[in-house]
Amino acid sequence: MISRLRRWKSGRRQLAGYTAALLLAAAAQVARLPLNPPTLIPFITFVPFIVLSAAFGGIRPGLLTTALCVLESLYFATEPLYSWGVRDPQDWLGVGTLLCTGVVICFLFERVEKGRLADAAARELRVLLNQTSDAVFVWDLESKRITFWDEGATRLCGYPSHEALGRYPKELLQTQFPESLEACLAAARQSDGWRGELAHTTRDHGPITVESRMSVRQSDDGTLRVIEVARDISERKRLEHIQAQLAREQELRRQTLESIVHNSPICIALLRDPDFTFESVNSAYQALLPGDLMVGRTVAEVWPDAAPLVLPLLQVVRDAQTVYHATEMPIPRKRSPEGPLEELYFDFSYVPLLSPSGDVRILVSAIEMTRYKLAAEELRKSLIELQQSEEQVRSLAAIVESSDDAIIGTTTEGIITSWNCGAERIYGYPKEEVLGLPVTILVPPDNSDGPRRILDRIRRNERVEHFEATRRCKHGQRVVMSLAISPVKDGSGRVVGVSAIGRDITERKLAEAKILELNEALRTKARCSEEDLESFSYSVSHDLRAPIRHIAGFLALLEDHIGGSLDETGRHYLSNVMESTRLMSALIDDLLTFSRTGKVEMCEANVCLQDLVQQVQRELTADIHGRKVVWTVEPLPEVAADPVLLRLVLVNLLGNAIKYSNNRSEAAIDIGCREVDDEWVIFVRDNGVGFDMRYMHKLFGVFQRLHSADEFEGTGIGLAIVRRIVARHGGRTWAEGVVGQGATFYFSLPKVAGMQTCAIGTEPTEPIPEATRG
Amino acid sequence: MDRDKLRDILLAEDDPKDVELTLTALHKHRIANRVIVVRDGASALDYLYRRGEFGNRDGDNPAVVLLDVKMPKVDGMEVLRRVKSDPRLKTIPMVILTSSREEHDLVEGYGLGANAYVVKPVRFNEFVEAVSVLGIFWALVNEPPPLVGTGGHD
Repeated sequence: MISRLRRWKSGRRQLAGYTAALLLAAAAQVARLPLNPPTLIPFITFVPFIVLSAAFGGIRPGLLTTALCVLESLYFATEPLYSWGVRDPQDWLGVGTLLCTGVVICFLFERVEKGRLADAAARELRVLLNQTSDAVFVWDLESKRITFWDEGATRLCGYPSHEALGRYPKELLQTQFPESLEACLAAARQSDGWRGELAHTTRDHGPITVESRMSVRQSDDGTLRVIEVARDISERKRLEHIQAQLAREQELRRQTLESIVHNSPICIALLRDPDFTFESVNSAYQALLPGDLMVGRTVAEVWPDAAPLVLPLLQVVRDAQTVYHATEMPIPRKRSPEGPLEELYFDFSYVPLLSPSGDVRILVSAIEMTRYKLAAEELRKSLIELQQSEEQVRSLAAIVESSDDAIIGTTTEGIITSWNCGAERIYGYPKEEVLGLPVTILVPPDNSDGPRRILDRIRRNERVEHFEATRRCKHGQRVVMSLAISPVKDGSGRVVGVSAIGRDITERKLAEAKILELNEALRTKARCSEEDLESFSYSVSHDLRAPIRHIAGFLALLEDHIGGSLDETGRHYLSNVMESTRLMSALIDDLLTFSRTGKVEMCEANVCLQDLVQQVQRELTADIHGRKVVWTVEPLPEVAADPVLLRLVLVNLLGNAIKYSNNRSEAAIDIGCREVDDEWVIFVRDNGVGFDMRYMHKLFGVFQRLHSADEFEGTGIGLAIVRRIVARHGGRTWAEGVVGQGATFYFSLPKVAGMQTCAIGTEPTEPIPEATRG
Repeated sequence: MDRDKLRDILLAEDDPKDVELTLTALHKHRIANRVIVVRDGASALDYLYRRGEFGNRDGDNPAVVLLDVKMPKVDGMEVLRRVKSDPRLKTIPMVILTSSREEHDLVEGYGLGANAYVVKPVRFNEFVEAVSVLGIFWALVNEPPPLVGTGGHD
């Protein structure tokens, strides 16, 4: 468009030129009209118009005007007029002169115009050059002198043009070439010229660096000129230098940072989407799972055990772009794929990093705190223990101080180092008086060697048994002490002191002596009683029975002797005497048994009650005298008892059941056992005469009978024997009965043996009532 | 029955009533052996060792010795112990007559080697029976062991 416009503009100017040429040619004809006839001179009138046309329109309109003027002169001004022919050959000379003059004028104007344009272009160029920041100067290659020096060069180098022109630029600017001036010039001769950086020294400001273009051109006069255009790039170079330095520093920093991250003991990893994939990890992080490459894998793949815990956290950090810190968080993981699942403690943080493209990456940094956590735990425990032991020490110290016992600490040499209130009270020495003194001050002179021997043993780490010794108090009185001497050891087990705990047993010793005395007396007495009892038993069994036997013997002989001559009454008397004799003998036997049951040593065994009952049943068959007895024996357990004594119990109870049910045509005797708590309760039930519960307390007494001798034979000792035997086994005896309906006798036996092996005098139940004879 | 061939029965019993009853019982069963009665253990030993009042006795060791436990001077247990510890006498059958089971236990407890024991029954007939059985058994039925030696003093 612009070019078209320009073309149009120049076209218009050309049109104007040509129009002017036509008009001027016409004007020249008009101006010649008054000059008639035509002569050579009239031709001269054409010349100014040609000049005007050439001046205004340039060479071509000028030539056009010239041509038109020639034609006009041929047609209008030469004979014959108004025809193209020329009569006078002189006219040809005039026309030719006009033509030549016009052409010369045109070319002259053309030349002048060109010079004017060139000058204007040069001026514009100079202005233009001056307006650029580049320095432009030209020097002659042969004379080595500067021929052109623009303002840019002045600005750049500091030299005004009048100082620079005519100088050799290499010297003026002390230029340093990358190779040599010649090499540059050689390149400059090429069509593209030379281009490169040069270092100049300015007039006032020292060295500068320029980007220079050098070309060699042949000028119009044929001399070779070097055109050099230089641009100051010092600032750029400086900036480039700074930039390079910055880049180097940045690189160094990056390397440092990378090295720090890589070698940091803190585990650092960078996660990116999707699925929190490991983008990079440092060596510490990698060491968490040695030999297992993490980069490129996701958190869930690398830490399958911890994923349920950490993935939600990571999502929150990613989505909310918040920083997350955790302290001593337990993370379940394995130290190796085959290893056991364990809980490790980590301090860690997740930091979201937003990249310019909008992706969020997460920087993970973690420190394993398991060791510290455990150590802290240990520390806490030991602190608590320490506290406890301190408390213990304090309370022990308080106990020691308040103890009634004398508690004395000494060095291994026997020098007293601690002394409690008890010691003060017992020995009479106040603490401040006795500390630092040897412990031998407490020892009576007749045993001054004792403590030394004990200390020797303690120092040799030998055990010193508890012992009793006499000690001397402050005021000389003696006390009997029970002493425990033990070494005091330091942490490494070295004996560093001795502790002596003493109890004043003077009174106890006196009491003991008294007790011993009393015991001896009692023992003597008991021995006497025992001997008395034995001789009594012996007398009863031997001396008391002998007369009975004699009575019985001689009664039998008497009956043989006079039996036939006795009447009814005589035989009745004799029979009564014999019956009484038998009863007397039975009484003696039972009494002996009773006394023996309390005296004999018991011999515990597992007894099958079932078998024993059967034996006793067989044994008692004779007592049934042909009556009908229905026995009901439930399954019976094995019990722990003395078989001989237990048999005696059963003989008495079963015997009683048989005896007291003889009023029944069909006696029913039940035997059974119940388990009550930790006892066996055995019962023997009959459907005999029973008894009145009001007299129950008399049942188990010696010589106690609830029935007359007429009704039932008996000595009244059997149940007393039962009670004594059962009591000796640790059991109880009782009975239930209804008159006329039968009785049930119970006894219990502990499941675990509870037998008393003691002799008479340990009867735990009610005392045996006074024997009543009747 | 030839009385000379029958050896004596030695009865050591201090109670005259028991002696009488025992003799009656033996007599009732027509035991023909001569019964030597001594009243204490010392005399019994004198008889066995042929010393003191029995220093000049002739004949063999007795067919059986019926020995009461409780006797003055030397009691029955001591006699038993001495007899059973003497090789010349220990083959003599010794029967202990006891008044009670208590004594019976005692004798057993000593383990002195009595050949039999009898608790003197209260019922006379039983007593007679017991003594008779003993007498007949030891005096008549049982072949005495060959004599080791006779006489001499300890």
